[in-house]
Amino acid sequence: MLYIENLNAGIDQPILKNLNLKVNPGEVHAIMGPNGAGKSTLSKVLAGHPSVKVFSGKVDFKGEDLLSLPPHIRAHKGVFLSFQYPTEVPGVNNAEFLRLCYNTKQKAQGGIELDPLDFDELLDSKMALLKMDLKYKERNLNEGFSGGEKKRNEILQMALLEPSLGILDETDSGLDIDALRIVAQGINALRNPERSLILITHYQRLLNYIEPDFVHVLHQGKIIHTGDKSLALDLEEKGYDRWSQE
Amino acid sequence: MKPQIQEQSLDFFKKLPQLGNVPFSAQNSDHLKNLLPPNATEAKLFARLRARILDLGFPGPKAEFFSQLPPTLKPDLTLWLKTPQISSSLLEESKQTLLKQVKSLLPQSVLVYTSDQFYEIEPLAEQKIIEQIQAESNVLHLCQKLQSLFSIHIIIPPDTSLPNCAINWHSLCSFPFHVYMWLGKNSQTNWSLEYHSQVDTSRLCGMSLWAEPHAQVNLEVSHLSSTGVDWNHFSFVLKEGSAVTLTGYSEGSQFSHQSLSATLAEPEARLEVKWANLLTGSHKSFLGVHVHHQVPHTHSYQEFRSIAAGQSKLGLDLALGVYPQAAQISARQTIHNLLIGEQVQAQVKPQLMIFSDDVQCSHGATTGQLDADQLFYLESRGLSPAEATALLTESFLAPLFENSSASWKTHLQNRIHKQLEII
Repeated sequence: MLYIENLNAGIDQPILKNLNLKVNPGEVHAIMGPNGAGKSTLSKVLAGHPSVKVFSGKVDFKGEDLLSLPPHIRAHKGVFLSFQYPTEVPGVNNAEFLRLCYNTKQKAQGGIELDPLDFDELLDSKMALLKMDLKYKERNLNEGFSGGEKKRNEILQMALLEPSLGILDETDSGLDIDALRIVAQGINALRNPERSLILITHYQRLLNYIEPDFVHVLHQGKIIHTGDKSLALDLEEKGYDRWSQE
Repeated sequence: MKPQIQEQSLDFFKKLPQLGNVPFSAQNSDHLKNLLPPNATEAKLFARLRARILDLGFPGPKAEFFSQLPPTLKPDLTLWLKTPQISSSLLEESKQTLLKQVKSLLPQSVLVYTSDQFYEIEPLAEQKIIEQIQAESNVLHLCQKLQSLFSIHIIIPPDTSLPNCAINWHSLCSFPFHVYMWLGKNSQTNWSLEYHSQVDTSRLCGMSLWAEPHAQVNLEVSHLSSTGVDWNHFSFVLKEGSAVTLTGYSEGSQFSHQSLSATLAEPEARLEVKWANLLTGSHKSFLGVHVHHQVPHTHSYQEFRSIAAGQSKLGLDLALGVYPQAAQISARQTIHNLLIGEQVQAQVKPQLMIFSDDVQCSHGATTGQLDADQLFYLESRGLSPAEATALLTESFLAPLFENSSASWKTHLQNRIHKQLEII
């Protein structure tokens, strides 16, 4: 599904350095690493953030050159980024925004667009999955949401848009214990053999709920070690110092 | 349903010529009040047209349309007005054309609809209009005369409630148009005023409003795009405990000059102005607002949000005056400008002129571009750059219309979408 080859990318100079990663359909990959390792840069490159420049390398997504596509087309093709810091957009009603996004994608994919009533039913069912209060439908997009509610709203969007590849950038940050469990349950409910996930996180605790197939250590812009979920436990215990010293 | 003429209303309208071209000032308030018929509170509303402003093929609702509506949907008053097509760039040419057009108009009539009756208004004599036009030798004076000719006097009697009224003014020529509104004591009313202009010539229109003690009015005004020159002026006088809310939307024009002068003349008068400008192409727009706090315990709130795109130019000159004796007033002035493109210009001049102690006054102004993070966030959810831009610009204006009527919001959304397609 996703094949990253020798990717060099950053703002002014490469932060990601010859990064390679392969994600097959249905796989869950956790990417862990110290601050400044390039985790968020990777998520921005994949989503097409204009501030990140690709110096060299290739990203193939379902047989297409992902880097040649503008952000909204990437979304239509099935790439979804759950933001570390979701942006507040005053004046835009959350439910209306979600319906606009849903229908835009449906239209792009030749699917059926929903009228407000039908969409409302769909939205209610997805919000129930995440145990979200229905009052968040009427609020403006992320405006005044707590950190945890913003993250839930991100996963709600993922549940509605049903992407092929979900990139979750530190979704666990800002969540209390109960919220983490509920959000993780929601993410697990979205797992299927066709959908892949990249979990970017600092902590092992998210992986207690969402079991990854692979755990990668990203350090100084490169994936320097790959293992199974036991690697996350090892990192929690010993930290990243051993690689910093190498 | 054939329009009916109510005897009592005709009597009332016959009295109105006494007004003549009475200038709008505080001294005329009593004069206007004396014109009210004895049973004014039952009559709900009387309007007067002092010239023939006619519907020439405009598909506005007719009597049959209203008769089919269920009672709950019937408006209290809607005036559908449209001028004929007249081009006037030179005085002589325009005079000749005006004469021709006025003659063709006169046989027709205007209907004023209220919840109970249709009123057919008696026209001014044709000869009188012709004489006024012929006698004029100055373009500006001609405009001023026409403004007094083409005006509506609306009198809301005391203790009257008229929640759902509208004026739709479609100008296909350079006829000036002015609304004079007098709000009786304790009256309450909501008005939607829509000015369309589709000419390359100048347009002069405006409103003079008078709020007697404890009157409340909510005005929703839209000035829709024109390729010519727009000159709009509002003048408000607020008396004790009255409240005026003006929510406006303007699309600018080749040159648009809008001004508001509001006088808070007695204690506890309250003014709220929320105004949106959406400029595209080579539009140039100037907005000047002067609010006068003349006495203590008066309150004003002003919020202006403008979007300028293309090569448009925006000027805002907003002055707030607190008179020496006007203690314990509160006033707030907020300005937000959103510039789209490299060639737009905005010049903002907020002014607080405070000559009294013990007041609460504040102002703030921001000018900026679309937030890149917000744009990317929306695009990452599948919206194209154009869709994301449209959504953000719409949301930028949205706070102004939070408390507006649903029909007004829908109307504005449609207009804004149309304008954003140009961007």
